[in-house]
Amino acid sequence: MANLFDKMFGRTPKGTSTTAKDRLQVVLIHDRFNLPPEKLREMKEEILAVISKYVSVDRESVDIALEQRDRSSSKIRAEIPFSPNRHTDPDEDVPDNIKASNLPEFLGSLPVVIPTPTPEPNPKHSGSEAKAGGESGDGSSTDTPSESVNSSFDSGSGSSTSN
Amino acid sequence: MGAKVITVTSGKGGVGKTTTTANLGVALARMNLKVVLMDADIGLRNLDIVLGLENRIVYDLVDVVEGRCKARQAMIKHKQFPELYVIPAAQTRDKTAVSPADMIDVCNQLRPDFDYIIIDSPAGIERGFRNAVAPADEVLVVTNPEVSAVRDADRVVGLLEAENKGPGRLIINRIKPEMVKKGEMLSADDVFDILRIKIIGIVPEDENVVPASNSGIPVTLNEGSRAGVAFRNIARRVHGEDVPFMQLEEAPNFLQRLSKLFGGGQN
Repeated sequence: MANLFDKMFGRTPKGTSTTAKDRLQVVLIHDRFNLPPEKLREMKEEILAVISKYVSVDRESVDIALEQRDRSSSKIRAEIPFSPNRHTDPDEDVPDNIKASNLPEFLGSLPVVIPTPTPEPNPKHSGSEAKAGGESGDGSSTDTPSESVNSSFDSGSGSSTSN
Repeated sequence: MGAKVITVTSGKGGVGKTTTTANLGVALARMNLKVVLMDADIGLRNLDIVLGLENRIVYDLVDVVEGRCKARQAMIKHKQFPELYVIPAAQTRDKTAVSPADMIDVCNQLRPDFDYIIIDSPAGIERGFRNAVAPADEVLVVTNPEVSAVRDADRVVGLLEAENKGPGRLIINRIKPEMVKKGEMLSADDVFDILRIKIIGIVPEDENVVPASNSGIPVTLNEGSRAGVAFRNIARRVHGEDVPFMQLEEAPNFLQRLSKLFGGGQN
């Protein structure tokens, strides 16, 4: 809340405390899930491999990150822009202007939100696992006030592009 | 009904667990409550010296656990507060001399006679930590506003949750208002945003703390000390009172930020 307020009024706090906070928020989310950034990258590659079998993914704009608003609720948020696969037969000559890579971006996007049960502490959330697939559509549309989307992307891109 | 057992822990060493335990004990005793403090840092005995009781030890916690004396016999009475006692840690043994079950047992022996049993946990998340936490009804997690301490605090909170002891309540110790103002130190708000557990106390850095330990008279007894006030406030909150947080310039809430922005008032 305070951060948003700061941003709104252009009052960006300077100094190393902001860096400390950002770094801690990224590292703690990986700590809590015992899912280090390298593992997250592996997971991301596997997810993209599966999706790429069906549609053409714009890899540059993919954003997959762990997100946790408080200690008891957590999710994997994935923003995966895609365009339709160019053709089932890759060898067939497709005119350049309709190749997947040239298609305008608005053709598709696949926002996915996968709730993740908290590690050990909260066994209550067992139900959410089974429903994960079905909920993903609703979750992404109702559960994304701009504030949290931004913050999750900030921390996500920080963790996945930092190498 | 019996005593409430409160464990003070942190993960990282040197953040102020023993200082907190001693001051909380004294502050509760000043409120006319019956308190026993227990040093669970076997092998690194400290609580006694901070309270000025180092020359009066006969028995220790391991003696109690191994049956060489009754819990009552190991308790050292504080000079100033007759209802405040300390059970010191053994100095020549290690953490394996005590088990979590032993700790629960000792606390159960003491519960009927006291209002609070406060356990000073060793640093780390190993056996000593598990010993200290086993009998706890409530856990206080001490941290400093710096990355290593906050990260360790988060780990401890995770472990507490896994053992159904937590999340615990947080004490942010040694915060320096001038540094927070310059943006060079995490504020209490920042630490809360990161850890997301309830804060029970914010203790400012205070030059009275070291002299207080030097002389074995906890800073809580120094009426002019800001840290002393903070510890007394924590004691009252522990006891269920709703005490507003001390006005620390470094922890402005939303409204204060607003007024600073529009009124420009700097204080």
